[in-house]
Amino acid sequence: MRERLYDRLETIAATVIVFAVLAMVAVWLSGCTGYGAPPTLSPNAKAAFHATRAVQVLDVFRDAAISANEVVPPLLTTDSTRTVVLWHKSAVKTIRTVPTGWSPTVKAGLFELTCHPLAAPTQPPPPCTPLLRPSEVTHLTPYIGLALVVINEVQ
Amino acid sequence: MGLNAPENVQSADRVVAVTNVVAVVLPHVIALIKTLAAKNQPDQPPPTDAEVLAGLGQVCEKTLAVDDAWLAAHPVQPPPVTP
Repeated sequence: MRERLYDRLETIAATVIVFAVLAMVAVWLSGCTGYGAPPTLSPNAKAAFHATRAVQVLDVFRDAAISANEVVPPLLTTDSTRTVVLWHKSAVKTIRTVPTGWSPTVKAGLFELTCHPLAAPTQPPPPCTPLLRPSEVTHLTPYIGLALVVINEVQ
Repeated sequence: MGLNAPENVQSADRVVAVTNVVAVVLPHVIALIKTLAAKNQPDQPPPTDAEVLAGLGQVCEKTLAVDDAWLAAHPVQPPPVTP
């Protein structure tokens, strides 16, 4: 009698586990496809939606550069930080002016700044000397990668 | 009763194991169901075109103001004059 009860409990537990795995996969898949703009938007508004995401991720890059400049000793020189801030300003103006075609310009600027291979206009990347120092690029690499992933996702 | 002791111990272990599994998995299942329900019935309506377009403008203005403030606080230093 007790054995049968335990067998039933085991069956229930196995069912719950299978259901949980399926639910996790469903949530993961819906999360992967849920990055896009709401389907009710017009093409122009969709472009603005993606452009807003791009501006926000470029803000993260700019803020990381400013923070790296503020630590003691600074990880980024003030001149290099100014270069990043000026590039960011130019990129944001480009995105605001051309919400549907900003991506190549912004990526080209990022490549000039960091020589990150994902920002290269062609593959394999052409020879490049970054405007930032190599050690500064190393400090900012995670933020550059994040920005490029989002830019490539929303373009 | 004494003859059945090993079986009882094994059964008790199985009960504990099953209970542990259910206790760990069930909250996740409930949370996932809630997440899926929230996705299917979002509390907020999707943004309108005007809201999205205005939002981009606001985000750009705000971040450009941060750029300008930083640049104003860190002017380009003139090169040192050598006599």
